[in-house]
Amino acid sequence: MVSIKFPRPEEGVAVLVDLDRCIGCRACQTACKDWNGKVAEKTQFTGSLTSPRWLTANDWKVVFFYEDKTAKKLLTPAGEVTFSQVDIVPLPYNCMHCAAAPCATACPVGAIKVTGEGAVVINKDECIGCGYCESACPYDVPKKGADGKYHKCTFCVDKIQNGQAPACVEVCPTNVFTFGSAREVIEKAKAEQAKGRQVYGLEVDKYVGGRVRWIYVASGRKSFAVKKHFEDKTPRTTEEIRQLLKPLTLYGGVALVGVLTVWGFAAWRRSRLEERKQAGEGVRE
Amino acid sequence: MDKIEIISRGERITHNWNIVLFTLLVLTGTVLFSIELMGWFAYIIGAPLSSLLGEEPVTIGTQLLRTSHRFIGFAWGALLTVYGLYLLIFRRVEMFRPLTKPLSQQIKEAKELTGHYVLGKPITPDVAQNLDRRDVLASYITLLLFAAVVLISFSGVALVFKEPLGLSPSMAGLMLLLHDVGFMFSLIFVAGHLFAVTHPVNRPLLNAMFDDGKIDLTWLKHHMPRYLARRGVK
Repeated sequence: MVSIKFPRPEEGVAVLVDLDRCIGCRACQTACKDWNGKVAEKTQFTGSLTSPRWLTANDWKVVFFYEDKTAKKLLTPAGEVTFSQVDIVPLPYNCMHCAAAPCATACPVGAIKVTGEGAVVINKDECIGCGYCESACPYDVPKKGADGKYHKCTFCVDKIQNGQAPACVEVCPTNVFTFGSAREVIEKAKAEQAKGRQVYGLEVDKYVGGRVRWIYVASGRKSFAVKKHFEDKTPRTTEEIRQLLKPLTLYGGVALVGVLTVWGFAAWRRSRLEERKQAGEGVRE
Repeated sequence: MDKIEIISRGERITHNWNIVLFTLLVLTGTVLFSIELMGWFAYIIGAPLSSLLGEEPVTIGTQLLRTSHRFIGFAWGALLTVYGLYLLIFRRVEMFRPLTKPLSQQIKEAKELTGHYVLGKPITPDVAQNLDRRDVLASYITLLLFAAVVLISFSGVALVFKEPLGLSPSMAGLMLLLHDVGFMFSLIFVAGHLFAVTHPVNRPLLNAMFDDGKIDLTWLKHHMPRYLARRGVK
C-alpha cells in the first residue's frame, strides 16, 4: 500500500549549478517564491547578505553568501604578483533531491513521493507534520509551516512534467543552472571535474543514494563556498541505525517468535507425553 | 488441596491493564514504525472518515493512530508510575531478589532453567531448593523490560513535547531512535515472557494470574521452596 521506488541516479533529470557564473542577484530565490505562491516575508539583518538565514517553509530556495580570503594573481610588468583578497561567493541552495532521499524513506505515512523524473515531493494533503523527514534530512531542508505540515522545493514538478525547466532555472540571467537529463548533467559534471573544478553531488554518501540531482561546480577560487556549505552535511547516524533496526525488529521478531513457538510446542508435547506416561503407570498400579 | 495466594489482586489488575495498554500501544505504534507493513491497518482505521473529510484514508488513519498512541502512552505511563511508586513505598519490589544471589549461583540457575525450559532437562537439587518466587531468568528479563520502559517513556515524552522543549531535528532523531530501541527491547521481553508463561511447567502460574492469584501448595513446595520458607509456610 505504501512503497517508494527511487529512479536510478542516471535516470530522470538533474541540474548543474555553476557557482562561477552566479552574481547573487537572487532572481532564482524570488522566482521560486513567485511560482509557488509563497508569501513575502520581512527580511532581517543577519550580518550577512543571506536572507533569510536558512530555508523556511515559505523560502524553498535561498541564496547563501560565503566570504573568505582567496589568493588572486595579478600580472604586472615586474612579474606575477599573488595577493590575498576577500571574496564573496553566492551559493543558490534548495532541496538536493537525493537519489535515495532519506526523507522519503523516513516518512511514516508515505507522504513524500519520488516521481519518475527524480523529484522528491511532499504531498501536503498526506503530510501529518510528524517531522521525521526533518530529522532524517542531512541537508536540513524540510521545514514546518504555519499549517503544521512540512514544505520544501518540489523541483517544480508541475513544470518539469510538462516539458519546462524549474522556475529558478528559467529566470537566471547568467545561466548558472543547466537543467537536463540526469545522464547529460552527470557527464557535464564529470567533465568539469576533469578540468580541476570542485564538484559536489557526484559522489556523496550512500545514505542519500550516492548522488544528488543538484550538482554544484566551482573553480578553485570559489570552491570554498561549496566546502563551507556542505562540510557539516553529514548523514544522520540515528536515522541510519533506525533503518537497520527496522528490518531487524520486524524479521528478527518474527524469527524469535517462530523459534520460541517451536520450543514451546516441543515443551508442550513433552509434557503431554509425560502425563500420558504417568497416567499409564497409574493404571498399571 | 491447599492453595495460597501468590499474586495479589493489585498485581493482577495492573498486569491486565498492562496487557491492554501495551497491546494498544504496539498496534498504534507499529503503524508509525512500519507503514509498509501496517498501511492496511491505517487504511481500515481511516477509511470511514476519509469520505467525510475528503482526505486520504491512510493519512487519516495514521493521524488517528498517532494521536491515540500518545494518549494511551500517557495512560500507560500513569499506570506504571502509580504502581511503581506503590511497590517502592511499600517495599514490594520482589522482582530483583534473585539478583542478590552470588553470581556463580545465578549463572548456574540460569543455565539449568534454560535447559529445563528448552530441552526438558531436569533441574539439580541444589538449584531446585533455592528457587524463589521469581527465578533469575525472570529477573534478567525484567531488567530488559525496565530498560525498555525507561527508553520508551523518556523518548516518548521528549517526542511529544519536542517543540516546547526546542529539540533540534538531530536530537528529535535521537529520541526516535531511542524509542525504537526501547520498542525492540520490549518485544524481546514480551516474546520471552509469553514463552515462559505458556510453558507447561508454569501453567499453574498462568491460571493464578488470570484467576484468583492462588496456587496449589504442593506445586509451590516443588517449584518455589525458598519462597515458602520466607513466608514461613511448611
